[in-house]
Amino acid sequence: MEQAVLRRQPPVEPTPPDYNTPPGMLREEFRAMGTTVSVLLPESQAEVGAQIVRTLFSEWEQTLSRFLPESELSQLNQQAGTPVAVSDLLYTVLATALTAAQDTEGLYDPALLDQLVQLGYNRTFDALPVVGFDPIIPGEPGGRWRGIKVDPIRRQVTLPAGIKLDFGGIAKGIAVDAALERLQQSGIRSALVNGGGDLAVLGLPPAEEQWQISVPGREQFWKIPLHHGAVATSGIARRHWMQGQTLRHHLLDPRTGLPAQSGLWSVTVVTDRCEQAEVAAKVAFILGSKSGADFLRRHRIAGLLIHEDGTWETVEPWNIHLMEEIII
Amino acid sequence: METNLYDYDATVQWTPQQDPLNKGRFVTVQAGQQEFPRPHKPKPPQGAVSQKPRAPEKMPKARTLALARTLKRWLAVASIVGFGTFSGLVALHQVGTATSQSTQTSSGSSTTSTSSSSSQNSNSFLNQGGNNFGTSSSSSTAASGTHTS
Repeated sequence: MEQAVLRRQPPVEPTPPDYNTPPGMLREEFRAMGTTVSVLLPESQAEVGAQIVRTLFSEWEQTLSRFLPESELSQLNQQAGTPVAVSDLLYTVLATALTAAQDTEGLYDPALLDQLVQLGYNRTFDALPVVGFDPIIPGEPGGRWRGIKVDPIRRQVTLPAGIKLDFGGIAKGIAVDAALERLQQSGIRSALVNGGGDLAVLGLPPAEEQWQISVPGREQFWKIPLHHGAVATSGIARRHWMQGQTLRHHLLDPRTGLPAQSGLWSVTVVTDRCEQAEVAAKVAFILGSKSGADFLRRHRIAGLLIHEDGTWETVEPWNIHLMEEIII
Repeated sequence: METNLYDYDATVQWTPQQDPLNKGRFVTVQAGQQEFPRPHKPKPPQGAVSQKPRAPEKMPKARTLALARTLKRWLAVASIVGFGTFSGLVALHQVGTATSQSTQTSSGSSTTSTSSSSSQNSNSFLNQGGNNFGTSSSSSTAASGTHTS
């Protein structure tokens, strides 16, 4: 069997711009769920708000990380074929993931962990080896999420033998939405939660009419005004590596079980909720330029599609006239 | 408690009905049997307008009690059927909402969903409420940013 070199590639995304904290707000940052979580909160509520978000992300990571052997998700993955009683959190995330899988006709697939591991993504991306050897694999199509059995009354889940779950970005997206909801329940009316590029906002910054959000291109950044909702980007700028002479990345096409070859560099979308943005951006990326744009158009999701050659296109209601290039 | 049998008899037995074939003439309907106009029977000379309805007859007590029992029985059956239907709809709604596509096979509460309500609800997961953008880009720098994840 052919052997291949597995090595991480240095990030090739342009350096993000410096962010300015809106007047009257404070910025808090911490590491969780394998990424940096950034939170903007009103000055008077920053301490309590940051603690709420930090606690939530910590709980979610302990429950949902596939890289923690003691996490509930890892335990569930090890008991495929057996009914397992799960927590409300795991059940909720799984139910959301299955709904997303169904509504995208399987283009979002939460059960591709084996395929990712076979491609070499078997540890946190930061811990991937610089040089490694792995066989080139032909790829195994997904779709086995359809065999997952759930019992909403007993909160039991039965995974078909041989499959493992990896929620990936959707867990971060749902966590961002949940964090904003928890902040709102605590009386906070204005906040932004950014979970490694998946962000959503609550209310507006003090004395401002919108949030200024930067979005990436192939070689530059733009700034867009966001009034409400969420923004997420899926692409290959960060999480990709070489397997032999083949470029691999983490956005697998469930139809082949291999990294999507879509001709796209990234897709950024604006939606009502962060969980939607995460799924819509990933699916549009997998589908490629034409079908991806059609998919977004069909769901009236605003999108910015960046091609591998750096050219780009938008899908309404994305407004080109609101894009302002950021000079770094 | 005493039941006013007269009122009961009046509403059941003496409901005047207009015969479409003999407009302007009233017919009476007895409980349990219908009486239709007989065209061959000779009529008295006076017109229908002047014909006086017969005085209402009291229903026998045994008959009243039997009717009451029947009504109670039907009421009980209807209540049970209605409650069962409502419970079933609630259970199906919960299963459909929570499990979406997934298959349920556990005993008792199991349901096998093939294409559940969410798939037929025009992709409810991705439904959007409208335009999320602000009105214009200001000169201030970005507060935060999305990047590839």
